Amino acid sequence: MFEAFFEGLIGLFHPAVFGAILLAVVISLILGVIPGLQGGIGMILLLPLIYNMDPNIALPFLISLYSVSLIGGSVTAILLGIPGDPGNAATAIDGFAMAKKGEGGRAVGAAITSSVVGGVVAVGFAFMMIPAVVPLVKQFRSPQMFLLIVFGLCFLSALTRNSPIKGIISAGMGLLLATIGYQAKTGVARFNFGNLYLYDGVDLLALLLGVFALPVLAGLNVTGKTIAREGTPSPTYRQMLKGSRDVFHRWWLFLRCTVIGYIVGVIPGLGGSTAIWVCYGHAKQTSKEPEKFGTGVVEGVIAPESANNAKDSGGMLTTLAFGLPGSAVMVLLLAAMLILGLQPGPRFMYENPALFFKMILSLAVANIIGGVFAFFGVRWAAKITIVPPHYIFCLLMPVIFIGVFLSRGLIIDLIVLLCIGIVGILMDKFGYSIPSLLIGFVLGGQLEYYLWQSVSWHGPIFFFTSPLSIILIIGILMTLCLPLLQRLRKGRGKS
Amino acid sequence: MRIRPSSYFLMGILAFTLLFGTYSFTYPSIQTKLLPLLVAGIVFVLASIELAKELMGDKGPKEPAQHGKSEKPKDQGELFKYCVTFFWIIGLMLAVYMVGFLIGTFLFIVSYLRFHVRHGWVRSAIVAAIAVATIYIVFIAIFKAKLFPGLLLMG
Repeated sequence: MFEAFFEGLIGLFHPAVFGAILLAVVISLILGVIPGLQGGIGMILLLPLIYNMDPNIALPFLISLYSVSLIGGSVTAILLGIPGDPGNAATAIDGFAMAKKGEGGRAVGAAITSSVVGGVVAVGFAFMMIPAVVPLVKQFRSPQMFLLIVFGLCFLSALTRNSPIKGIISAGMGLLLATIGYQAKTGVARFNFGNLYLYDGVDLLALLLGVFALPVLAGLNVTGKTIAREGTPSPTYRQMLKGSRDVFHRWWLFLRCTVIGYIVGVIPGLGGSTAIWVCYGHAKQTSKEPEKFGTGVVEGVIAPESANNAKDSGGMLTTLAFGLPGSAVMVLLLAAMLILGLQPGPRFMYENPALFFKMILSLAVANIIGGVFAFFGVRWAAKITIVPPHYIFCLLMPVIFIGVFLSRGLIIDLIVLLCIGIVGILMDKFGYSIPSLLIGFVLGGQLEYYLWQSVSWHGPIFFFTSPLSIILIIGILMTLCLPLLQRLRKGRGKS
Repeated sequence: MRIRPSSYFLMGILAFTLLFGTYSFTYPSIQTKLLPLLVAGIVFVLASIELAKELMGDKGPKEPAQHGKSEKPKDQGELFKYCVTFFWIIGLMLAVYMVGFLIGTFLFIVSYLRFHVRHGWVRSAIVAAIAVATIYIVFIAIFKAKLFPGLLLMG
């Protein structure tokens, strides 16, 4: 394992890999400051470019794209009161209040430092957990993998939206979409309705861009207003250094929030917003002056920003070790691995150990580089938010089309993109979980594969082949029953 | 009984799962049809329950757009804006299909900025030219991608 760790670490500083990380950091910081363009958008837009890339370059590139966007988002959250990403929403409360008091630079410095250091420390936590995770993943065979995927789908669907039924419907629709095309075991073409185009199934990239990027850009065009105003004051370096020192003076709060963020990230389905609000609430509760929260206190910036990047390390460990994405962004990472021909899941860790370590280490390296760039570039970063949404729409729409076309070279994929985009907008407006749809689609093939592998080896009662299987079944039942019990309890409480 | 737009969406889901479920029966082996049948069945039942709840007037819990950046259409105005947006997207698609990505993108950006955003011709053309040049450099020159040349310009 140590050899793989060092191989991964040294590999990160290969010129091509390091150059890709640098490029990703710059793109990510730019996208991160534009409200409405979440961190995942950068990953989606650039996914088509990774098709012929070496996974050792492509995966650190994508990971860096996402991990640094939150730093950029905190800048607009503080200076403009507009979070660049939902993960920066809590930062906007006290950060913007500090900016109004003339302490914007201090808030920005605190946000960047706690985000960067939190991300790096959380990578350390991930490495500490690996010795415990490795023996566990070796226990997973086909029956356990099948049950794990079912558990993951149920868990995520039940948690990601207020209506668990809608979450499960979304996941089910994703699974059904995944069945279109050739069935791996029998070679029978399913649901192509005699159409040659559907023999290979629905294109993953068209689905991703359709449900994620198209609704975002359409929403920007509908909004139509300039996001930021001219004349936003730039922070000074002296103020920013003061904010950086604040993080180290409040190291205990910072450490607690980093740990909380990491743990929330490990648990699939809770999402980044949970981490930041839990930490913000925790900081307020444990403060000697809780009434000052909301008026512009630096602790209100340090707490959520520490958790923000820390959760990514936790989420990545779960995604890479178990093939179970914990959030929408991790689904994108999983999709990228499939595009590159890698099979995520327990085997990934011990079949590609150097790449595994490289991916986790790239979080730390990207955070450090991103922090340095953000620290010195923040004075110009806020100007990007003056770009009107109309420009973002008309410039990025063709890029999305090109991305979808490059996936398979089929112009019909654009029609699929449009149709899926409409469905994506409707799903979002009516409260259906798009991450559940994507997870169902991405994991559908594996689910069916493990199902028939398990039946082939163990017969129809493969569910009961090991204690781990029984634990997973109990987990599935609890996940399905818990929201129902909570609703019943709420109903009794009201009556 | 009030039929909300979300109810129509649920009816669409029901139709979708019914199609998948009934088509699954036509496949020869259990390995081919089991998973789609099972999933379609579960989704059909859940969608029916949800539709019944909506038709009986259960408002359900409030659902914030966790992933979405947009809000529910508050009025017809927002719906009209979405229709206009999709008009532009379809226009881009047609332009790309007829004259290819580079020329199609140029035409799209010029017409969008001129007629939708109300910029002047010169400004629109400059922005479009820069965008197309960037696309050419990134996708064609650097990544050596083969972009669709367009139906009218195909050899």
